[in-house]
Amino acid sequence: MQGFRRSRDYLFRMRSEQARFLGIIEQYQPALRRLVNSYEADPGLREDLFQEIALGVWQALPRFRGDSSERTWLYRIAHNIAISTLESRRRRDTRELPMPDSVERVGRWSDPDHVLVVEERREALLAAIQELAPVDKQIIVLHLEGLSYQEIEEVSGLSESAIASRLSRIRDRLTDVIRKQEVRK
Amino acid sequence: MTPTDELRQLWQSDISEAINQRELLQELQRRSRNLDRMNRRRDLRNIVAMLVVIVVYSWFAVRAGNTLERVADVWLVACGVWFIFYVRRYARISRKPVPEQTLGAYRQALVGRYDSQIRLAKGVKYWFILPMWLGLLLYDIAYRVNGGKNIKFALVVIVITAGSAFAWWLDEGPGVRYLERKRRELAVLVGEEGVAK
Repeated sequence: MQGFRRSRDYLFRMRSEQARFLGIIEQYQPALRRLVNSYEADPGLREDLFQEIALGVWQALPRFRGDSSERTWLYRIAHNIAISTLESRRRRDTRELPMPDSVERVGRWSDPDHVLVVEERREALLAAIQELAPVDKQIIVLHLEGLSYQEIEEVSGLSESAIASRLSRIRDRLTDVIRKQEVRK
Repeated sequence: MTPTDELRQLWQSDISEAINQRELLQELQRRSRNLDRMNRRRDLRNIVAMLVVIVVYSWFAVRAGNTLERVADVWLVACGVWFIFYVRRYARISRKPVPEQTLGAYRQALVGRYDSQIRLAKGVKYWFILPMWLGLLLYDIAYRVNGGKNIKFALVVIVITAGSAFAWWLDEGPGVRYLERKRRELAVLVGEEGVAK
């Protein structure tokens, strides 16, 4: 009877973790995709990186005790796994298995003209972010995702004043890139 | 609109992809299981190797012709067990750090992993090569004491010394240099400031 109860509790825990994981992925998937794009310039390798991050979140989920907010916890994992995955790839120069073909992708854009304009500016922004030093890249991505200075401090471990001064410099640089791109048009 | 708002709006306009979450979960569970299986197999291999070393040299020790040979066998059993322990320790410190820590701490941990490996590689001469060389030498001396030929005794001393010296050179030279190069490359990848040494 006790064994049955233990199995039932385990299954219940598994199901609730799965539901929690799916909830996190659903809520943060666009943000995680953007984060992946900032690290990986090659579109063919972005899916691998996204999977690595999702796997990291899945494995870390049982250890999450709510000491920090779910958002800062997730961004820590995502950035850290992005860095170490790029390092492993550089070391081994091999690729993980791609996602199965059956995985469904859904396009959400409807206005092609709008897409083109925004797409070009966004590509310029993304390219500029990809060029940044790793620490700067992490800070600006967190900032652009809407995290407060305090949350960025929780994720990065840098002080708020260091974050503020870096952000000011990075913002100027990125704004400059966007302006130049508009002038060229 | 402030520059920050503008950048943020542009950045967050990228929402073009979605994925089937159930299939993602299934794929992750499969990969997670594979990873666990791989770790279990590695642990099993280490334990089997350790048992083989213990059994074989213990058998030699039981059948040894004299005390010196028995001491050499026991010494080599200890060396074998120690070697397996060393390999397991190396595997443990080579594992990736947990990703929940702050980005700065994680960068330090990634680079620290290389530092530990370099320290470990530099210590191999004391912790493995030297004891193994002493054990083999003891074995050879036991052979000589048992009435073995001088020429064979001398040849074995030369071979085991040359072999140990080669292993030492491989470890201290190309081995450590490789790890140091990888550490430097990693430091560049993650940003120098987080990993100052």
